Amino acid sequence: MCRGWGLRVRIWLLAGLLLGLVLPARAGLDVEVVVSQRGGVHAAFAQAFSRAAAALGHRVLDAGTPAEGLDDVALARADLIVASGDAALSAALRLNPRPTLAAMIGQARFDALRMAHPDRPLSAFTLDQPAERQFRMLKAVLPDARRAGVLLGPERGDRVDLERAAAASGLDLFVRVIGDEAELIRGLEAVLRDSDSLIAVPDAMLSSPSAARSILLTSYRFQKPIVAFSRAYVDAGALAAIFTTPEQVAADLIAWLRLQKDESVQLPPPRGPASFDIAVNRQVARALGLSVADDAELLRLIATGDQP
Amino acid sequence: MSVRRLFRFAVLGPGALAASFAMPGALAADAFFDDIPIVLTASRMAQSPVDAPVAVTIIDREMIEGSGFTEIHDLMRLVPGFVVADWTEGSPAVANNGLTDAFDRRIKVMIDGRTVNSPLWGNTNWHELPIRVDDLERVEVVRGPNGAAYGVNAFQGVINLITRSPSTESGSRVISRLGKGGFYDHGFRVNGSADGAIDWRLSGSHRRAVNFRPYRNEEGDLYPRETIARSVLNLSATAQLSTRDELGLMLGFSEGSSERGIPGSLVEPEREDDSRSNFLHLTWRRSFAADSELSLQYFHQGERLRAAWLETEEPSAVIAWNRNSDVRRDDLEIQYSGRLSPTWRFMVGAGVRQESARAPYMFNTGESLGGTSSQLFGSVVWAPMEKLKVDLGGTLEDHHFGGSLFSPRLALNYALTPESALRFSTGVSYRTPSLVEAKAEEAIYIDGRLIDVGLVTDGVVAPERVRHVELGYGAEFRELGLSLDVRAFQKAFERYIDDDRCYHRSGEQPPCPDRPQFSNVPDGTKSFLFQSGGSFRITGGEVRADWHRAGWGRVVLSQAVIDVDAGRDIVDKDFKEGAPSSITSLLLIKELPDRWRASLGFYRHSVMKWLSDGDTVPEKGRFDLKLARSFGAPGSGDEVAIVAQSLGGRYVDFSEGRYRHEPRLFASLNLSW
Repeated sequence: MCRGWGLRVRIWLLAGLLLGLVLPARAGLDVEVVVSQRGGVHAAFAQAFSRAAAALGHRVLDAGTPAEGLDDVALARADLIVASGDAALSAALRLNPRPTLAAMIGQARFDALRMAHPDRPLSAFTLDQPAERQFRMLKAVLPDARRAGVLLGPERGDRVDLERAAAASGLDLFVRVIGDEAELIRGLEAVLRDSDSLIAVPDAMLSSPSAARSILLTSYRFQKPIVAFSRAYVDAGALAAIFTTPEQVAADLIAWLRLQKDESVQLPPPRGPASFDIAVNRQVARALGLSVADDAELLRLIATGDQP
Repeated sequence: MSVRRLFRFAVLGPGALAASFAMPGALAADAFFDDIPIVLTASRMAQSPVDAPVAVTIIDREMIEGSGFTEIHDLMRLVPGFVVADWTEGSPAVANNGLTDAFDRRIKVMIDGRTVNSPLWGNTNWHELPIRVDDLERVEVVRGPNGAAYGVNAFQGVINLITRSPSTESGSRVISRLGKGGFYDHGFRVNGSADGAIDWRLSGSHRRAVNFRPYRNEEGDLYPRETIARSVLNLSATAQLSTRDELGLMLGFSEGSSERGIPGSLVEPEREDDSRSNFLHLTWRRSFAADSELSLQYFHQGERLRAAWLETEEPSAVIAWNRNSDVRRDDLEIQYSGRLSPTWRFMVGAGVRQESARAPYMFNTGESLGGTSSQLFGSVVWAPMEKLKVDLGGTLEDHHFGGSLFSPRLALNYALTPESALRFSTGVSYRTPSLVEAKAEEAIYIDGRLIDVGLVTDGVVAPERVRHVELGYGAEFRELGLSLDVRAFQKAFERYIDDDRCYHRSGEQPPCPDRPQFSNVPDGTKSFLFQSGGSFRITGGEVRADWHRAGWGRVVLSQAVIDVDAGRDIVDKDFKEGAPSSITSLLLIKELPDRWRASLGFYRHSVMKWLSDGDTVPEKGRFDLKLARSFGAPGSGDEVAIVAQSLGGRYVDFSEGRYRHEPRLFASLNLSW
């Protein structure tokens, strides 16, 4: 499957190149795409992005992967480098400074890389959902929720933003910060004891398979639902999640790219996803005795901020 | 699936797992897109009473703690229609709707999916279970026959004791209980570090309890005492090998003594029985999705009893012998569940089990008896419309002395609203005779001569059969904090196995089996013959209401009414009174200021007769009280408490004429760090 994705990405990149060649009337941008891996979500993003960018008249080229090595000549003359994922961005930042737009990356990781490269023309479309959207999701699936719990890891996240967003949704917030995985269960128990639901955050430590497993089992033990940030979390046992798909990330980038002039790019400030999708684990909902509205209604509630 | 293929699977599976275990990089994180272990699968989650195809009661951690119970069998008092009794000569007994003797072999008991019923009698040796109430996460009780889902011998009900996953605990904990009358129960729990590759927990305990003091009845007869002392050690470990694969290891050991007999008596002098049990349970679970999972499990169970015994024979011979036994069970089982389409789900499985028992006193042979049984089971759930689910299942078991038996079940679940459903189920379940019921020849020798026989069988004892039907209503009104479970049922039992008197060569009916080895047994001597004791029908209804409000507390009320309609072929007339007409239980948990919590338990049943060794127990209620104050970090479980069990003092248990169970008053400390 990975091989198939990689092949498709290359075909689209080639198609983009050919389209650029047959449309000489429009100059377009030289856009170099670096992906962290040939397969999976990064391939899905690159495929969607390349197809749409080529259709806009830009020359979209495959600049390689960290594992294969990057095409530093092509990257050096790029009008825009699009780096999909942490590894791709790290590799691209080691080369000549060109305007670089990171995608398919979390806010915490992007902030760390930007801090390490303060002089680079660098921005990102991050994957982190705005806190307000997460709490709207929580209220949409759990209209009776009054007190939301959040466990933060060493990355800590923006606690003030969380508290402001929770208040906007009429929720009290109970936050606990832990320093290492050894404190996980105690921290979780304290949060779950005082909350009627848990917002899972994409902290690297709290998202490891073993930590996620403990979070899911302990939350179930307390019979408290989890609202998470990925489809995998829902498949694993979270009640619901709000997230952005690779195709939606690509669409967000394309919407920005449409506004760019053909000769040069003006990087936007780092921003979260404009588009999102949701998933609900109906089996977990039944096991917790919850009646959750259908997906269309949930999307409407999140978009409007209405409460059921 | 053939046994050969099963084993090939067992060998290949762990090898593949070891390979993935050696590649931690496979678990490297990209939080937004990486796979996460599929944790909450259908087998791990308690099924909502609204969705369940049959009547299921869940006793959760809050109820376990609130009840103040320290023994697992006592928790069954919280289940609608269940009665519990203890006696001095062995394990307590648990029965759904009564009609049971001291050996409660009609309820299947499992710990995390591992059957624990003794291969000897088929009963559960509750005192010997290698886990304690403190190990339990919750208890799921199927309140009726369910051979289709759990195999032969899930005859009156199924109790699944689900222990806490080690990955949900951390640190260390001591639990200490100290009470009046020499009662103590000290335990510890140590958990592995949460950041290790393997989640593990070691728990252990040592306890001593005086259950019965010698009781002198109104006629001046003195009856036995029972004091038990038990040590338990338990290790539970899980390793998440990949996002799909989980390996589990549980092993446990229980050891102890039971002081029994009547002080100063030559007939039943004081003695000390020594018991040991152990188990090993290995599991491999591969999760494909929340409703798709493959699991493979192997378990071993061993039990050893050393019980010196004195048998009194008329006119005045006292014979020293013993009731020593060694039993074991090995079981291998594979199960797969999945979804065929949005409207069709299925589960299939196969198992093979080997049991053996050596009990010379019971079988009149020094050889081990036993055999190998195998079973195939499966079910399909069809949801032709959103509100309706049709659940059709069955188990085919080839039992080593019961023959081939097929237990089918049909269940319908119709959602009235998202919060409530009607259910209907009907089916047939079987119980094969236990080894004792099938092979007993309890011979008593003097100077190498067989002079008396206790329990005995006559040829092949046919399996018991029950045809059952129930109509139920389940609801969870979340906004009100109220869940309801109501049902009406009828169970028609046939060939109910009972031991009743027989007579050796006297012409009195029924005669005992006439075997050459019984030639020295005096004519007219009485023995007890296992036989099909006839048929009867139990009709009843149950209501359970569970109301909860955060900050206030919780009330769980159960009421069952039961009517027994005995057939004309009943051998033991006690059957007619073997079930109480009414069973009530109430657990009230009240939150109080300053982290105090009070809970009251009330357990009552109307008059009933326990069969065989038991007798009449009059209508009487038992009140338990617990007053606790939690401290330390919220959610830590740290607590001090005082518990009083049976506020009314000694109470009649199992037989009004013989047994008075001791009340209990103790303080407890639950401390973690």
